Amino acid sequence: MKKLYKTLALSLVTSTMFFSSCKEEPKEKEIVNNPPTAEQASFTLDFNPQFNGEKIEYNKMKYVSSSNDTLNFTRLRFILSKIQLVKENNEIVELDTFALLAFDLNRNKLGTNQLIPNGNYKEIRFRIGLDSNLNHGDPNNWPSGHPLDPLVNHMHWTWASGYIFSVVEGYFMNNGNDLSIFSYHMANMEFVRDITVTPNQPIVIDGTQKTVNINVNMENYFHSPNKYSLKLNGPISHSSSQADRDRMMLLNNNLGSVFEIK
Amino acid sequence: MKGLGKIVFILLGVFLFATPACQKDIEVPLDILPDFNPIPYQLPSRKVGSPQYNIRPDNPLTEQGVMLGRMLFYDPILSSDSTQSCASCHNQVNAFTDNGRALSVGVTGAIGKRNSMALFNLMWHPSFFWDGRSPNIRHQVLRPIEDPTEMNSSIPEAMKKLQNSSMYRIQFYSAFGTTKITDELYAKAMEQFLFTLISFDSESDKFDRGEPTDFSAAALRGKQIFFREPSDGGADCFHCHGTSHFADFTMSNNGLDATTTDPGFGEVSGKPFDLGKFKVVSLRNVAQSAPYMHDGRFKTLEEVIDFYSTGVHANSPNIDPKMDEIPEGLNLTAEQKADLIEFLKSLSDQNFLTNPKFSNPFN
Repeated sequence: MKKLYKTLALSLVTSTMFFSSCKEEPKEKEIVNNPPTAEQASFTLDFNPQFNGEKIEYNKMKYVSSSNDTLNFTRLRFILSKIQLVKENNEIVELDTFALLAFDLNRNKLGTNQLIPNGNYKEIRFRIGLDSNLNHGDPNNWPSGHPLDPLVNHMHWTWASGYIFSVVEGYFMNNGNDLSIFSYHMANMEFVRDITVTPNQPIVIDGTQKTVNINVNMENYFHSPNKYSLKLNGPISHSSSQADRDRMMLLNNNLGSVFEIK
Repeated sequence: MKGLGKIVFILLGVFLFATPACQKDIEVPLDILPDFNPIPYQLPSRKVGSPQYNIRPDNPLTEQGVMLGRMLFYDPILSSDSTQSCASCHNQVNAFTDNGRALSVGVTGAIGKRNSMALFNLMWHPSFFWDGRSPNIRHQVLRPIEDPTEMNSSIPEAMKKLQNSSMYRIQFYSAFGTTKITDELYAKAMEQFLFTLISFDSESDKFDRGEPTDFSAAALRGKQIFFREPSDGGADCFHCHGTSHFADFTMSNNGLDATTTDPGFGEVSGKPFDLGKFKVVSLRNVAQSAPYMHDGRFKTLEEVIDFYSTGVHANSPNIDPKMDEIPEGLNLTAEQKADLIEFLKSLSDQNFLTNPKFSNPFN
């Protein structure tokens, strides 16, 4: 009985301590993560997928490409790494994070706890894809919920090939009312693509929280600089066979015109 | 001090056992109530090639919690007539599926709508049930209790039966420090046991880790077919059944039917473009978990592979674009099919299927 009494007393003390420490925790977190100082600020990239200036609605058969393909999108995903901000004096600030953009799941934002130094930034650069070590590393080493956790991005291809860097999937009208699948999976190191986005005006970081909107113009994915017809060039490429790779190279070149800041 | 202790003792007795006493249960003498001293449960060391453990911070595994969950899993007490437990339709030797049945039969004789799902590696699943209607396992484990085609009871009724059991009052106290049994604690105990059902020790895993194994040459050929694109002589299985789970756990229509016969995930999301989609399930222990698909329509792995080889309905509404190259027909040869099946059989984990830690604790 003595033992029970002792256990209860101990539990009471422990639970009191537990609850008091719970109350303190949010305050500590706020202090660590939040406040922009006078010299630096938190930073978010907000990607807005569009087709000819119109916000993309998934599974809606209403987009017409310059090759006259009528299509919709079901999955639209990109893995981004080496995300950099370039100052007017060419100083580079690299974010210590990766991004999984899964637009079809409304994962459009890249937020970071990293504070960005004040200044005028002339460019945003990022890599669609990963460097070789990351691409071919063990995907199981990422904790659950990480952008590179295969169960989060559903973009790990095979052990040998690594990740799919971008997925563009949907349906298109083939020969009148015949609904066909299109599916472009960009993978393998040859298709890593470095992107530079240059705004018309410099991005000013001035000590307050900053969100930069980047348009993702999917019309250009099938148009600029390479006009790409789903029917003629082919609706499927998984970056594997030579014909696949030829198709993918056209689309890979087009990625450079997809991301823009207006 | 001695007197105070006595008073506390009496008050506790009244407090802890007030409800059961009202329900005329046999009183448990307080002196057999164990100390509340939960011992951390040690999961096996993480195997190379398997994902990091994903235990929920608000429900750490303990020896007592896992044992309680195991008891609840095997005890028919939760069903309306106390004849069926979770294990009735989830048998360990069948990778915790229902003994080869396409559809399970509930306590009233009613037949369920979909095939009993295999249970392992659940801590990594993003959703549960074929139609993904449960976002987490704590939500899932409560549903069969109240399903008229399963246990046909209600959650309050099931909790009342547990509360009336001195054995469970003691076990809940050991696990959670309280004899007040709630659906929340029930679900947490079930989560603890179900999260221990880990399976990453198949012959294929051993082969990948360079350990001694019976992995055959035919299985190796089958593995190459599994992981290759059709344009490269493969069967393109990995697009949906990749990762260390041999599944991506997404909701997908694999082209089973020309028209939608079961709304699946579409009924959950309410969106027409999700009609006919079902969870992509793991192929681990697949040789033990027949029959296959959400309705158990295919009795054998041969039937499944025949379907993917020549039977996919390319115009099935909402067919997954990942099926892009399959509708044209994989047209696998008999030898390729046999090799593929050898590989699928190599995904069986005998240590998991026979692990006594997962068996009926009442036997």
